Amino acid sequence: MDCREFEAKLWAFLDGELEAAVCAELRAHLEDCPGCLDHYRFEDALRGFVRRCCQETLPEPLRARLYQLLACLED
Amino acid sequence: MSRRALFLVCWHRSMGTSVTEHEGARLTHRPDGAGREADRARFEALVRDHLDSLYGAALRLTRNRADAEDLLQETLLKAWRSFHTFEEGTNARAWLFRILMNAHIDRYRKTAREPETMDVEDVGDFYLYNKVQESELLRRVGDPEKLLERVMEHEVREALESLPEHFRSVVILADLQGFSYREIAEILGIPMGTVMSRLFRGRRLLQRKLWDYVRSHHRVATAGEGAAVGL
Repeated sequence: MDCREFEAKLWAFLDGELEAAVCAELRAHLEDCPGCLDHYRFEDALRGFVRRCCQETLPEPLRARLYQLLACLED
Repeated sequence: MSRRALFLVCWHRSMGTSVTEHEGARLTHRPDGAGREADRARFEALVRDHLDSLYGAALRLTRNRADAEDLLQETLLKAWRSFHTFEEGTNARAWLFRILMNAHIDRYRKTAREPETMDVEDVGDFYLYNKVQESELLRRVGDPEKLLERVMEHEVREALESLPEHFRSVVILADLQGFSYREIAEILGIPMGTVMSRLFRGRRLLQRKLWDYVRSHHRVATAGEGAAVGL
C-alpha cells in the first residue's frame, strides 16, 4: 500500500468501516510511514475536536418541559 | 409543533378533554389502563438516555435553539405515536434519529424559501492536514494540531452549520453521533454509496471552512486573543 492509497482509505478506516484484512494493510503502512501516521493522528484529533465543540447538554428548563410532555402521554 | 401547541395538548389532556386531531398529535390509539401506563414507562426509559444527543443534532440541523426545541418536542410526540411499531431489543437510538431526521426534513421542506443550491464549491481531495503541511504556518507553529488551537468552539459549530443540508445531516450522524454508514443509510433512507459520497464531500467542505479560520487566526494572531480551544 502506498501513501495515496492510504489517504484514500483513511476516513473509512477511522470510521471502522473497512474489512479486517484491509485494516491490517493500513496498520502495516502506518508502522513504516511516519508521514501517514502523522496524518492519521491529525484526522483522529480533528474529529474529537469537532465533536467536543458540538457537544450539547439539554438546558434544564427544556428538560423539565420534555419530562412534563412524557408525563402527559400517560393517560 | 410549537411550544404553545404542545402546552395546549398537555393542558387539554390534563383537563380530560379528548384531543384527537391536534396537528398530528393523535394520542388516542394506546391500549387501556395498566398496559398504557407500562407502555409510557417503557417509552420514557427508552427516550431519556438519548435526549442530549437528539438535542445536539437538532441544534446543528436547525441552527437555532427555538427551532431545535420544537423539533425535539415534535420528535418525541411522533416517536410516541409510532412506539407500537418499535421492536424491543432493536436499535432505539437509530429509531429515534430516523424520526428526528424525518421530522426535520418535513419542517425544512415546508419552511425553505428556495431549495438550497447543490452547486457547492468543488473541494476535490481537500485535506486540512495537507494544507497545513504545505503552508509556511507549520514552520512557525511546529505541530499541525497546534494550528487548530486558535479555532474557537463557535467557529467549529458555524463551519458545520454552513454545510448544505444534504452534507450536514450525514456529517452530524457520522462524526457527532458515531453512527455507521449502514445505520445512516437506514436513518436517512438513502443507499450506502450516497452516504459515503455525501460524508466525504461534507468533511472536505468542513475542513475547507476550518482552514479559512486557521488562516485568518494565524494572520491576525495577537497574544491577548480570546479563549482558545486546545486539542
